[in-house]
Amino acid sequence: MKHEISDPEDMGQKVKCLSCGSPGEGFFCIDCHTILPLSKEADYFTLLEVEKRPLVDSERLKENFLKISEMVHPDKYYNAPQEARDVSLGYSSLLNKAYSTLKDPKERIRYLISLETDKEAPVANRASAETMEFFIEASDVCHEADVLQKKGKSGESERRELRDRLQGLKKESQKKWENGLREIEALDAEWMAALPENRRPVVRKLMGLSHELSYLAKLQSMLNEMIVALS
Amino acid sequence: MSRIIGIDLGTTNSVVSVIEGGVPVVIPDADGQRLTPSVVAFTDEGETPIIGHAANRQRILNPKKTIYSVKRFMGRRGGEIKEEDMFVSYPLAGRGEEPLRIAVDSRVYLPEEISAFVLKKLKADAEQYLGESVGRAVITVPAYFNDAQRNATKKAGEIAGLKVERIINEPTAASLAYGLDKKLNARIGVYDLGGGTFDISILDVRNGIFQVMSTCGNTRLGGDDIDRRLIDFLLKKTEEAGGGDLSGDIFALSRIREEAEKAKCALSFQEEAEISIPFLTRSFSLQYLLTRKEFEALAKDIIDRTRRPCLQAMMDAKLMPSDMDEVILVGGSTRIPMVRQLAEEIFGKRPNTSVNPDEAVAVGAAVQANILSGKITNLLLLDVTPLSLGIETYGGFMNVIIPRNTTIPTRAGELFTTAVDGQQAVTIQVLQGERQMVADNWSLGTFLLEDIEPAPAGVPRIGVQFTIDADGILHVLARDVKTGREKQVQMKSSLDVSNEAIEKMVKESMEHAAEDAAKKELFDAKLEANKVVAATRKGLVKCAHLLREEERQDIHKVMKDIEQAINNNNTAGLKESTTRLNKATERLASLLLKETAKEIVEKEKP
Repeated sequence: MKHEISDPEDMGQKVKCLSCGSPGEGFFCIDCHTILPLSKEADYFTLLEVEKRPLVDSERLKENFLKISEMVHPDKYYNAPQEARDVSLGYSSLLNKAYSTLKDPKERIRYLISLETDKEAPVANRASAETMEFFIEASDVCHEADVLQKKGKSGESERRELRDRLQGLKKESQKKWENGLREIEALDAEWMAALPENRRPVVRKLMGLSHELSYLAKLQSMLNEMIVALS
Repeated sequence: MSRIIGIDLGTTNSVVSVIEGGVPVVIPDADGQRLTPSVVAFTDEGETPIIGHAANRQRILNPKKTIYSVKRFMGRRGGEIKEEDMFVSYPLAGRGEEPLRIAVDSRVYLPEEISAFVLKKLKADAEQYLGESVGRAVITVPAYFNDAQRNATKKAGEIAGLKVERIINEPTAASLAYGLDKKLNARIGVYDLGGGTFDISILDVRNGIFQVMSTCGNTRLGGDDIDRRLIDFLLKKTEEAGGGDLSGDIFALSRIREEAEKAKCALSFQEEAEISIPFLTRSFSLQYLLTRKEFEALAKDIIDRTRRPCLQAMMDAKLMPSDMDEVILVGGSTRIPMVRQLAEEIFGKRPNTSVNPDEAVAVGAAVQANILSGKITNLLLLDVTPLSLGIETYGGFMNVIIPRNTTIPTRAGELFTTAVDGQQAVTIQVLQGERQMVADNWSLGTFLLEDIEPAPAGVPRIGVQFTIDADGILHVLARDVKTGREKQVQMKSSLDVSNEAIEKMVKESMEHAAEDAAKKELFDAKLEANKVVAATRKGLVKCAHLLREEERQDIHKVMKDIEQAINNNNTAGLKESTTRLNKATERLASLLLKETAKEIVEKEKP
């Protein structure tokens, strides 16, 4: 039997202990303390033992991630039978994926939307006019920096001036990003106030926010790259 | 199960370490040296090469067949190497897509084969030290090594007869060594500048969990580059002083290289270094007083190249210099004062130089070895993949599937389909790197999805799962979504060494090992036989008259057999006849004992 636990399609299979065969729940078999394949309800929130909602306590998330990593990491199963090692590899991979998704607000929201709507949230296709305008402005500066960079030898003053402009844009985008985070907080409150069947409107708002954040994240990595290149 | 050793397979030097009774030990070789130069020298054709210090010592006399800095060529294609990197005293082969090779006499060696010689020596040193055979190792690689370079390192281990239990990153290994004996809760940077590579890793350490947040580096940057700069400088000075252009004189270059390296090291502790090379040519001796200022002017732009990776790593970790608690320096080149100054400038704090820059990585590898064997349970390393992994898409673009700095192990899935009606196979190119265009990244190779059931274009669905394991090495699994059939996909790369080739190399090395073992067995047998024969002779002098004639004849006969076995190098015969002699002299031994006792009693009589 192969345990492709990272594949969502396989999450539906019944969980049975690999070593003694008794049915189990959670991470370990109660009877023989062997690592268990992942149960079917395992979404990233469940896996990391945090509540499924737009806002998570990042400190707690990290603590849980480290705690569970210690339990499932392949290093801990190095001398275990091959099947347990396979499970540990799959488990650990999934855990890493879950953590990197939930710790990043943009990815967390996209994931939450995909759970709610049963399909992948589309990658940013449009953001607010304001964000789009900002994005275009910043892209132009990045392009300018790129040209300067490729030309090679250029005046230090020219470089410094561009670097300062990039830094300014970075600060501005960070401000926008923080506004986005505040909006997550507001939507989180809305989410918690609504009954699960009445969350459609919140989910729609989250989608809009997710597009904003995607653009901003892309922009920030572009700016960072140019700032490093010009340093 | 046998012990796992930790090995730092360096560009310039290699180190082997184990944990004994909870304490990390760096294993010295037979001469007590803790660093083994990663140098392999071939002498006469067919002879086993010389490795380490001995090889280094004869480097000047035998430049074309003394292989050093081979780590730079591990997992590399000829076309990837810049001309300045080809600047070595031994001939290189392999152009374009071909893997780079080293030509020695009538043979060409892969870089992993050369590295295997170094690993074999370290293995033997460890066996000698531990008094047991060693078959398993954790080997370190630069954090910024790509998949091909990691695989080549793993192969080097296999060729040397070691099961490579884990490949770990050098800066992370160093952090383990640093944090081993303290309760560390801190954000640390490890700045690792060695002979040929540079790495920066940023870690968050909490309650024994070493989580790498980001890593960056340059696998072609290190002390070697500074040496080269210095050599060019000295060549110029030679020409200016009337010594002529020696840039094509391998013998002279080797001597200059040796002195340049010495001067570089000296300038870390003193303000000036006297460079003196008598009779560099028949009529010219080089004499030059190099100041640290001059040296720094030569090395500055090389050292400066470590700045960008540091900034990138901090950006990726979303940290500012002020967020970092500690910056640890590792690698021999961090002894250079200018390097320390730069690290201080980048991170805004005085770097920590408390770990041994040459040994920390090997010690970390030994720690990881003990984590794997379950002897250390309170430490855990969560490392990342240094480079983004992706596939080629339409238009020559790279589509990222696993971004850089993703914690490993990691898995990601991708669905593929066909472009033409009835298409039954799809070829996919796998890449590593940060650039948009395929051509600017590393190609790890291609894999073929085949046996697709004929269907209109776009209908078949083949799921491909990319797994990067805890070694940072990629595995690909394909599954036909409709039939659910799964298949491990083999990536094909021009760098691949076939399994048969590896098996052959392993076999060769085992045969040599067997040969070596046989030699040792014969030697031991001779030693033992001589001991018994000498004792017998001594006994005969004293007690021959107490033996019966046939006993005496028997003993003489067996001694003749032994002599013959020694002359014929017949190990089995020698062992057998030695046993027989022991048996034949049993009565002699007891007579001797009685005689000696009698003597003592008589002596003590009043």
